[in-house]
Order: sequence, then structure tokens, then C-alpha cells
Amino acid sequence: MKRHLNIDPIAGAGVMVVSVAAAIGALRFPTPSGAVPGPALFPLVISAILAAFGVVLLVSGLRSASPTTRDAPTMRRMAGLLGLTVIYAALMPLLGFVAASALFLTLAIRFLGYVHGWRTGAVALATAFVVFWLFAVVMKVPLPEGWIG
Amino acid sequence: MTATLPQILATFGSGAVWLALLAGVIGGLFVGAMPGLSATMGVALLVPFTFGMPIMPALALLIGVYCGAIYGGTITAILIRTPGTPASAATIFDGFPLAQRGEGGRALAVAAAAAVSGGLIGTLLLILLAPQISGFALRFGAPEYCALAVCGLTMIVAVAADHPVKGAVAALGGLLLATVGIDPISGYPRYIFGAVSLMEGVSFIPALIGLFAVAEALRVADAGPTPVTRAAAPHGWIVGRWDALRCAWTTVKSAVIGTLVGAMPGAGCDIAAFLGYSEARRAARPDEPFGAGEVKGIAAPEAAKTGATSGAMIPLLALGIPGDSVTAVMIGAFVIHGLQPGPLMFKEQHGLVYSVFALMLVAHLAVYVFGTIGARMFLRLVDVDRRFLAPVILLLSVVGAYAMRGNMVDVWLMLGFGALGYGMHRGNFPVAPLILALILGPMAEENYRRALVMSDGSLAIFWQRPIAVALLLLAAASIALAVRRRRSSRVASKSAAGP
Repeated sequence: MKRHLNIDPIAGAGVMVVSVAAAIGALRFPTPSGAVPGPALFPLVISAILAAFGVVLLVSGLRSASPTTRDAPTMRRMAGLLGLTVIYAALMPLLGFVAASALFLTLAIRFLGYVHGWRTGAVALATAFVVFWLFAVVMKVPLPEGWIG
Repeated sequence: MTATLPQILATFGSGAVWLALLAGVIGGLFVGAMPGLSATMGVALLVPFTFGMPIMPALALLIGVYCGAIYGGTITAILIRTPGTPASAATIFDGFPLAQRGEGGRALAVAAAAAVSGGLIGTLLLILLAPQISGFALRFGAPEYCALAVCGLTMIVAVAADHPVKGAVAALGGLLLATVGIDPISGYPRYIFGAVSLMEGVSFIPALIGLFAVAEALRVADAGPTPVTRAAAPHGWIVGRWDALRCAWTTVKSAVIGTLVGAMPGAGCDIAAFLGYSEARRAARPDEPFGAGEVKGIAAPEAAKTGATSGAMIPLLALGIPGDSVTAVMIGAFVIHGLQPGPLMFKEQHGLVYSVFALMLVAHLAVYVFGTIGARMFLRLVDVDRRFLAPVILLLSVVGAYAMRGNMVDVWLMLGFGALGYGMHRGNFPVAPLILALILGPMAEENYRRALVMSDGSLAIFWQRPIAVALLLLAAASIALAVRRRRSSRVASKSAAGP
């Protein structure tokens, strides 16, 4: 299902919130004595200009008559894939690199619609081992071992 | 200078350098041929692989991927009308009609010859121009460096964005992110929220892996399963004498245009290719069938885009400012090996800089050889199912971010930047200004504050230095041009919509 959504005003409002928050944070930085510029100067200048551009984006977005199309299944697929990657990153220190990677690849490939069972598992396991070999054995980069390895 | 030649010879005497360069070229050709995968993503994913490598094999690998990926897209553009990278899109106009007539081999031969010529001419210009520019930049003080950073940022906003406001928001967001961490002048921690791992600032490598690789993997998955590709197997890989003669001047002209365009911050290979094509078409005789299989229409974009790869290295090596998003990623590779590109590197690491030039020359030749003999194989690789590709890219992104410091914080940071990059893509915000601002932010801030210290807080110092004035005027001109271009495109779209 495709829904119409104008992203620009939302982005403009978000930019304004971030720049105001950054400016408030910068006001708490210490001010040096004399004419020497302190750590707050640059973030304050950038926040002010960013807030101004946020207003421009908000106003021009509200005026614009061309909303962006949002494809709900695509958004769900992207959110699902990103969610799986987050779970993979969380499980990697617990399960270990090879086990977590093989599990992640199997689930992600199936999630994207490839249903051939043993082929998915074989590709997932082989890829996990090859990447492990490249990083841990060839490049000597220690990877998490976890409970399984 | 006497130490330069032995260092270049030592570089090419090393088997590891050759292996890395050839692996990079072949990997790059694959990345470039695969629609949806970009040269930037290829280089970003490989940077973590180079942590444990000596500097020269590491640079050979990254330069090989860069040059290979920029050419790889041409194979699919000509044979199946699918440009692997945006830089190859202009080659379709005349390459595909020629392939449809059964002359795919001839089209590929012209493209490969023009690409290698463009790359070699661009690298020769790099060798000529970069030392002059870096020598000039040795005169720069704090106001000039601040103005240079401002100029680089405004140019990338002006060139990279169809929507300058969105480009400016991306650049300013990057500048704000660059202030995270310990303030280099006062030592005060800014925006770290108690996280020790943020004291050194936002880690550059996880940020760029997230912005380029993760966001691109999500886009690849977005495209769904790949349709199986079948193209007629072309024959004849060597460019004919008549084609070579006809395209010679176009190739030289396009290579020079491409190199100069590539040297501008933000104007990458894709813009260079379209400019090269436009110029060749403008200069064409009426009887030359541009758009219907004219070989000059293949040679022009190919020479321009490979010229731009060398052009992008000019500001990187001479000034420490990347010419495009790939060279922005390469700065990360230099930094993790303890090197800071710029005028001082030219002075102190003369041999290394000239070895990079030599690597560029050899990489272009290797792309010609492998791109020509392996075209059929790369065409077949395009059939790899994207449902496998996207998860593998995500896995490599997680490992790459983790491998840098063995730290899960970098993985979370990378995933956050991945979501941001994908969101920016959906909202039509360009990513290149953000990444360039992350690089140029510390340079702009430190030199801005140093300049104010020098002048007791007076901004007049920027107007008292001729080089700084020239750079700031260039920045203002690029903003004015972007605004004007935006207005004229609005007027054009309104008049096209009719009353």
C-alpha cells in the first residue's frame, strides 16, 4: 500500500529541535576570559545557521505541493532488516561471531523472500567462516568468541 | 627527490602490493558492475580490512577498488543497458545502441581504451598539478585553512545537491557532529553525555560504513530479487585503428575536463562523465550519430570519468580535502595509518606520494586488462541474487565497524549512521556533504579560532589575507550559482507544467 507523506516539514522540524538542543548544550560550556573564543563559539554559530535552514525546510515543505510517496511494505522490509541487524549485533558477543553471523544471514536471507532452506543455511555458514578466516586468521583482528564461537 | 625513485621501486617490488592492487581491481570491477553497489561502498567496506596491512598494500587495495569500480559499471551499461554506477549512465546513450546492433565488443573496446587513456592523462595531470598546489598551500595560515574548509563545503553543497537547502542541512549537521568530543583547544568535553568512547569524537570509519554501506545494503534489499541477465556475448576486444583515430581528440579533451571536474570538491565521476558527453555532443558534426551508437559518445564519458578519479586525488593529496566521497573515505585509510594528507605530506613523505601516483597509473592499466578480458565474467556476476547480497553487506559492515577498535560502541554508532543514511536517501538529502563536513569540521573550527586568537577576536583578519579573501569569494560564488541553478530549474519545471 502506498501512502503519501511530505517528509520535508518533518525533517525541518527535526532539524530545528536538534539545533536548539545543541545550542542549549553549548550555552553550558565554559566561557574563557578575554577575547579568546571558547568551546561554545563554533557549536553556537553552527546551531544558529542550522536552525535557520530548518525553518526554511519547514516552510518550503509546507508550501510544496509534491508529497513523497511512502511504500508501506518497503518500509516494513527495511525496518525488519535493520531490526535483524541490531539483534545480530546484540547477540554477537553472547553467541560468538560465527554462530551469530550464520544465524543472522539465514534469517535475513529468508526474511527477504529466499525460501530454499539448505542452500540458505550453506551460504550463511560458508560466508560466516570465510569472513571469520579473513578477519581473525589473515588480518589478526580478534572477533567475539561467545558461548558457541 | 633522490629517495623517491627507490621507494617507488620498493613499492612495486613487493608482491603484497601487486596482490592487493589486482585483488582491488577485480573486486572493484565486480562492485562497479553490480547495479546498486557504488565505489564508495566498496572502499568503505574495505577500509577495515586494511588495519593490519602496511600502508602501501592498503593504498594499493583501495586505489584498485576505486579505479575498478568506476569502470565496472560500463560493462553492464553497454551490454544490458543497466549502469552499475551513476558514472556509467552517460555511456548508455551510445554504447547500448551499438551493442544492440551486435557491436557490443567494439563498444567495450572503445570504452576500455578511452577509460585507460583518460585515467593515464588524468594521472599525468595529477603528477603535474598536485605538487604545485601543495607547494602553494604551504603558505597557508589559520585564516586560509578556515577559508579553504568553508570553500570546500560550499562547493560540495552547491554541486552535490539538487536541493541546496538539503545539502546545506547535511553539511551543517556534519559540522555539528564534528564538534562532539574533547575540544582540541580548551580540552573541554562537548556533547559526550558521559560516554568515554565519544571523547575522541564521532569515529569516522563506523560513520562512513553506516552512511554508505548499511544505507546502500538497505537500498539493494529495497530493489527486490534480481532479474536474471542475459546479453549476447560480444566479440573483439581490441579497439580498431579507425575508431582510435576518430576518438583521439575527444578522449584527450574529455580526460582534461574530467580531471578538472574531479578536482572540484563534490563534483565526482558522474558529473564529469555527463559533462564530457555534453561537450563531445556539442562539438559533434551534424553527420555524427550521437545517441544512436556514435563511438565518440562512448569515449567521451569514459575518458572523463576515469580522468575524474585522478582529479579527485589532487585536492586529497595536495590540500587534505577530498575531491569526492570515495576520496573522503580514503582519508580515513590514510589517518588510520598515521598519515595526514596535505601539503606537509608532500614535503615530508615525498616517496609515498609519488608511489600513490605510480599506483594510480598501474591501477588504470590493470583495469584495462581485467575489464577487457573479464567482461563476460563480470556480466555473469550481476546475476547474484540481491537477497543474498544485502545481508552479506550488513554482516561485513558490522564486522568492519567492530574490527577497528574491538568495540561494540562503534557497531551501534555505525548502525545509527546506517539508519540516518537510509533516512537521508528517502528524504533526498545528499550524504556526501555530511561526510565531508565530518572531515573538514575540525579543520574549519580549529583554524577559525586560531585566526581569531591571532587577531584578538577581530573577523577582519579574513579580509586582510588575499588568499583567504579569494577562497571566501569562491565559496560565495558557488552558493550564488547553486541558488541561480535552483531558480532556473524551478522556472523551467513551472513552464513545462504549463499554464
